[in-house]
Amino acid sequence: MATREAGKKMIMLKSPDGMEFEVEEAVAMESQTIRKMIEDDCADTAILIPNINSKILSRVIEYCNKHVPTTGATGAAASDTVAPAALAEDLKIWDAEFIKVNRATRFNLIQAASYLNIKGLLDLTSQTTIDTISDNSLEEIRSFLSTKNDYLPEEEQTIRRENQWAFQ
Amino acid sequence: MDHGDLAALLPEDVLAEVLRRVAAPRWLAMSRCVCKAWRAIIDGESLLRTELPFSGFFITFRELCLPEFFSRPVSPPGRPAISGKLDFLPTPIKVRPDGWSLDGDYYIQDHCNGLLLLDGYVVNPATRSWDPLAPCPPNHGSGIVYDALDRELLAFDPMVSSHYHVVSIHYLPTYFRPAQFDPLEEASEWPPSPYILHVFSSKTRHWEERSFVREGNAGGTVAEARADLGRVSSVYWRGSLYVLSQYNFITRISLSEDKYSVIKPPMGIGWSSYIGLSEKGVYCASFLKNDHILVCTLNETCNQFDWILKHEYDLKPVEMFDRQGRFLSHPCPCSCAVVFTKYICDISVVNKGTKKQKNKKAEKTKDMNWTNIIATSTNHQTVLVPFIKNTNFTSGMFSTLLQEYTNFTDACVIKTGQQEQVKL
Repeated sequence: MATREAGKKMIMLKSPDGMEFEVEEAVAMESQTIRKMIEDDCADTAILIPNINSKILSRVIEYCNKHVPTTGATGAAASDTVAPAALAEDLKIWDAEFIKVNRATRFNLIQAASYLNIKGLLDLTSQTTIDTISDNSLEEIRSFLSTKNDYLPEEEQTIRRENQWAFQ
Repeated sequence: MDHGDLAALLPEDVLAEVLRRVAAPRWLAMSRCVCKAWRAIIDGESLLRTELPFSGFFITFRELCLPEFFSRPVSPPGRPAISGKLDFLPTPIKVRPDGWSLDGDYYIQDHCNGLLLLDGYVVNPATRSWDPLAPCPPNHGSGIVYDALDRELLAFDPMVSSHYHVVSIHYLPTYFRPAQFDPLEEASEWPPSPYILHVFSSKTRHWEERSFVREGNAGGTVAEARADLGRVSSVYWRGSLYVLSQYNFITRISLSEDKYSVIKPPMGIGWSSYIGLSEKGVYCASFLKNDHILVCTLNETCNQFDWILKHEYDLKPVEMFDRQGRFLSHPCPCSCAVVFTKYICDISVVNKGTKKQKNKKAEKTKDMNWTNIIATSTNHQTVLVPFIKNTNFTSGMFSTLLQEYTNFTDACVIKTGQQEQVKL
């Protein structure tokens, strides 16, 4: 197990395309899935993260790095000088920038957040996705989802009637 | 622009998780029309069935100044306990050891999908939050019978909106000397069209006089409605308030369209009925011949209303009613039947009528020793919970009775969702 200065424990994460990422244990433990592996002592060597390519994994680590609670020497200095409210506001702005990605990347991030069980990232990516389509009409939703209406007219009418309250 | 099917890019369970987290129920309901695969996810994962923050029911005992809250488990893990003490309200009621209080009482006038309506407050007991409710302005519109009483009902559906309405409907009092009425007015349609009602909106925080135009036939006449002492019960379902009122007809008031329709009651409905909500929408439970209970579901297609018989129970084998006797020094029936159900309507209130009406009802049905029943239609079970009205009756006795009942004969307690129900 690699150990760096200031006694910080480091964890090695491996993507399926062979890239290795060395991250602080605290950062890696933002993921409940990895936390469980570490706690169960299944993380002796590098942890292989299946299905998440290096491009996405590096973004996930970037997110976790930003969101890890600031503790220790350098972190304490940061939170001493900045008020918690300002810090939260700063994080919000950072999140908004972070999520400015194309749709495919966002879906990959959702999948990664779901697999790695990172609540904050899943909330952020889900909310952004829903926000983009929630005010759209049925046709716009269909176009966003690249899907076709495969109902017969009378079938659609029946379903519309079942959920009439939603169209009012 | 990268185009790819969202459902193809995301595994179904992940997609369902995304939708469950953030999508508004209204949006989910609308998007069932998108395509078949999409509907399969929404229906298959039961995304439209939102769990209410808590399960259980409130009971207002006539002799107690605070309601009692009953639930199993007692409180959901990780949440503050819900109770009928309502001590977070600005004017808490201090109860003396003998059960009486000098501070008045909190009488639950209505409830709807997790909110309670008290005199002057709308309360969410799960979040311990409340709104003040200004008194409803007096009626002085046309078409209102001069002696009509007001009955305030809550309309709230967290699946549609976080805002609620309070609708003040009219109730015609019964007098025993009909000579005092204006014959012309007595022969007129009830409810009238337009039906002028006061509606309070939590969005504007004001009462507003609104006019509802009838679609279809009238329910009956003023005289017919007046002749019935029936109690009022209501449910709020898909943007409409269904009110079971006097003369057993149901008024469906659409708050979004300013219209109302009159729905005929199920065939063969008994003298004591109640409407509630369950999985299939609006239910009506009714007692027949003192020993039968009838449960029907309402089927609505293109403004056609049909009642479908769901259950009919013979209550004779359930001898529990005789067993109540030992709790009672002088039997006196309670005057309300209430429903609590699996998904939607999980708070119930006993004694919804006004105190004056209750007394009259009590006089009228003195010789019926089991009129005090709560009938509940749920998923596949009908729940009957016996109720007793007695000056010495306490919540402790109710618990004992409930326990006795659940141990009694073939009745068993089954767990459905978060709520335990008694199966007949």
